Amino acid sequence: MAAITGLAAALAPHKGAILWVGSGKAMHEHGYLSEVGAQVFGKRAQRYLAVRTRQDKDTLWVVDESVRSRAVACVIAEVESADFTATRRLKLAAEQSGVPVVLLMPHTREGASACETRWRVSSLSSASNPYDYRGVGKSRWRMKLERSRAAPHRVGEVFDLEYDDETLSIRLVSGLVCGAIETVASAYGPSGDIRRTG
Amino acid sequence: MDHLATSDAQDESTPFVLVETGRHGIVVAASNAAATRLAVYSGMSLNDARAHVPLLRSEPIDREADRQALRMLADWMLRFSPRVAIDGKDALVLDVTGCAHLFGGERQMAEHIIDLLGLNGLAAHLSITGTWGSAYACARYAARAGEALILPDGDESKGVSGLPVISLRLSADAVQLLRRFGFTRVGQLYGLDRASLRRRFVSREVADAVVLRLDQLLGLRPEPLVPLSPPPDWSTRLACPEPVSTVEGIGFALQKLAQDVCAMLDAHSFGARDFVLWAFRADGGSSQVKVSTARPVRDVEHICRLFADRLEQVKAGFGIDLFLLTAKRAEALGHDETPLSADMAANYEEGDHLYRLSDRITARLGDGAVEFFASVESHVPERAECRRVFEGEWNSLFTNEQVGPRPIRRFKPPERIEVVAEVPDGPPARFVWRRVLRKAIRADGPERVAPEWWKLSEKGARARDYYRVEDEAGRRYWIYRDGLYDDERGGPPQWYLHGLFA
Repeated sequence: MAAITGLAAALAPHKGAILWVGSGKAMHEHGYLSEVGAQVFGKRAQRYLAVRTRQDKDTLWVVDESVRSRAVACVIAEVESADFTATRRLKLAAEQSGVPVVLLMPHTREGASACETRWRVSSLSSASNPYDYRGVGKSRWRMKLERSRAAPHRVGEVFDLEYDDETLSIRLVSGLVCGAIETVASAYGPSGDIRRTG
Repeated sequence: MDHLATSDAQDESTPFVLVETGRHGIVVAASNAAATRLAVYSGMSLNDARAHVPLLRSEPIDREADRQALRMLADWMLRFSPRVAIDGKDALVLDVTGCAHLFGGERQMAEHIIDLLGLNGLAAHLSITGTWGSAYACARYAARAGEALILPDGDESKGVSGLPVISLRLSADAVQLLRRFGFTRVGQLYGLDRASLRRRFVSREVADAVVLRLDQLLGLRPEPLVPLSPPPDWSTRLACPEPVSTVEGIGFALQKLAQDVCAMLDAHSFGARDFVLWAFRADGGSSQVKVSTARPVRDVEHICRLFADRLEQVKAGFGIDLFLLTAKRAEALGHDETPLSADMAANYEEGDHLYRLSDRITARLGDGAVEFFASVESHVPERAECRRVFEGEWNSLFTNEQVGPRPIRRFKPPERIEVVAEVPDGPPARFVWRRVLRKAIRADGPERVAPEWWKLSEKGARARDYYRVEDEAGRRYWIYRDGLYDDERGGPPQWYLHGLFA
């Protein structure tokens, strides 16, 4: 869960309010979001609002309401599941208002979804630390594209990403030949649906 | 205003009493009119009453249900006055100053109340007078059920002079003493010299109580009424010609009331943060719905939208005949200034939209649903960042300086783990978290966090050593050892997992 949390924070717009929605149960299970920790992935202009709900129904309502209001720069929601109708509704709202929505779901979930892109994310061993060979280095994640509306021919490709906390940028780690930066950027698009693992 | 809470609507012609267990057996708690005519009063033992009236019917009294019914009735009385208080076990007091004109005068108001209560099977003893004390005496000892007793201003002393001294709200001892001195009527006490009256009593307290009650009754000393809920700053009412029972109807009434209340607020350059919609039913019930906002507002559309989801909670029953919208927590709110440039307008709109969104979420999910992260001056990680209720802005007074690495996910409370590590100060090599054994491949640290010994809650806390640990799968953990091996503060240190890094 932490891997996808970091990735979502890194991909979120660097300015404006970010609304983070999740049920109290999920927060207890996966840990509470920490703004101090998230600020490694963005500038100080990024401010978080956290909404704790009781059930997924409320979470989806909050996402819908906030996307339509256009008051926030980005909405990130943790849900156990969301059916096709619900995701379709969110996608339409996101397209109309231009506010990106990221839904984080358990890695076990399958089934139809109306999302723009769907990624399966897991953590990777970090980059080597230049100052301490035993220490932890820059964060790396593995993303597998499971579904994409814009680039259906690339579904199934795997991207290894590294986050550089000095330049606040994400870059592809060597070993990949396909220069897929633009595809990665599509998570910025009207509606991204990212799956997490772990 | 007085209301005799006999819980059962019995036939008035048969003597009937409610009983409870007293110190010396079963005693009468309340009696109906027929029983009272036969000299059965509350306080006498049931056996004595039976001796008087062999065919007396009795039932145990349910004080709790009576109390709740009285409380419900008190809420319902808010339709007549915003200042309502419960007086003892069976009476309500309303401060109707400035309210009577809404009903066309005190007489009409009193009759209206009696009519409405009568429709619900309640025979009220009601009186309107200038002081609480005289109203108490008149309602209980002079007013007949179903007939309002109204004393014109300044006539209190005349109106109550013929009533028994027990109507002065005194203790049984004091009443007994007064009777012994030959005072049976309130009027007999008027002309007496206060000092000589005081001297007659052995106890100073009893004497003071008599004089105080007498003064309060005559209005010589003030007796403030403590209302059940603080009266609202602003309120508007809408009486319906026909009872309303549909959600659309309620919505329409709300719209009308919101317009009125916002116009009032606007005229005084105020905005309010709490709005309560009261719906009074003709059958003696009432329901209320409350919404709160992060900032003071007076925007009809916004208020109506906050209520929109919750109008179903208004219990319409057989129909609502009166609505009341009250605004509380009013604060000064200047008139809107139009931003000069488009850029400023965008900023202005964003903040505006954000607090409106937070209001709507709060209206649906409950108070405190939307939170922001505030920095607190502390170096203990869980205390350094706390979540506060979002009220339209990120008002954090303190900015924490960048410390060591902090995880993006933090567990509350930290989770206990089993760790294999080099003693005394090595990083974890293997550990079990959530029943899975994890092997540390890389680790850095420690970052030492000393306890805040100047805080009482930190008593006995130990220094922590935080390590950042990565396992084979690339998961990054934030683990700490609570205490050092040689700090002599209890047993061997324990290990905890406090968070996860991205």
